[in-house]
Amino acid sequence: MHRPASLIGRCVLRSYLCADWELRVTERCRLEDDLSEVGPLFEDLLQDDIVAQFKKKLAAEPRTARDVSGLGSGRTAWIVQAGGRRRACAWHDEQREVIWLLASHPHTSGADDDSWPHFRELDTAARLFPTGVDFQLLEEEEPARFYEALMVEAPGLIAAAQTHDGVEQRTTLVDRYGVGLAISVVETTEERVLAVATEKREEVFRRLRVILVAFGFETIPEAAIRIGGREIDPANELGFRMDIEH
Amino acid sequence: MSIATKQRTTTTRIDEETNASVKQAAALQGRKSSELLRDAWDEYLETHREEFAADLEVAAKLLREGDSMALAKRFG
Repeated sequence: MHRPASLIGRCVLRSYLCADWELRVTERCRLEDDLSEVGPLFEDLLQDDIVAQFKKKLAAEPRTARDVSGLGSGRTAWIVQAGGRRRACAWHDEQREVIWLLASHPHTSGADDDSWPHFRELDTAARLFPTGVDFQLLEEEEPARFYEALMVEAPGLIAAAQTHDGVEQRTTLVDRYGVGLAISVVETTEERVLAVATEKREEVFRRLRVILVAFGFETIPEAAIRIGGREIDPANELGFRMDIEH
Repeated sequence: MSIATKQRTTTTRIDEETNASVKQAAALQGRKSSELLRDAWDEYLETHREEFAADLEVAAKLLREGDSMALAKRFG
């Protein structure tokens, strides 16, 4: 995943979008580690110093200079060091392209409840790294993240198609659905043809109305069988066309 | 079953019972199955046109408002 520049730096529900990953806070950390009691949204959590530091340090780089040593799980948790008397750590979940803020704890060097042994205890208890509830929330929020990205990516493809008259411009929307768009202008009429790959059939069908509107098909389009000089593959694509008067 | 269009034909899978019913209805009217299906499809589109249009209108409104959460809730 590499997001368009205009999506980077946006908060969407519990996520903060970066170029190649997103930042999130585990539910255990949010609920137990004395983060500001402002609700679950990332935008609100940014009021907390630790979360603000997390964003500052891990929005551009997936790791910090130091990791929490001696975690029994063998995973690497990077230290997010904040000013004051709290320490925090984060983990780069490469499979899901998420960096999770795992824990935040008061820090007094050498004390029994120093943050480092506390993080190790959480790890031993399998409570440091994200769990099923975190992954479930991430999955549930995927549609909102998709539409947020669609609102940015569709105008970009329209602009590209408008500058290449009649030539199909292709992209993979939000790294999920292949689409092609061709725009031809004759006098004051603009013909738009959109081809949408149906590989992820159920998802695409559910979101098709929004995808169409995002590409300017605000009334019921006709079926299209050709786009930009090629035939639309009926087994794997849906084609739409409409004329827009300017 | 093949559905004829002006340009070309294509194949659409339907269950045997529906296919038999289409053939019977077409025979009773002295027409081809493809003609009957085309008319039936036109009628379906006409019947549901307002429903489709309303959905597109809702999607357009939510997109203009940039309301990704409402879009997620409405369209999944």
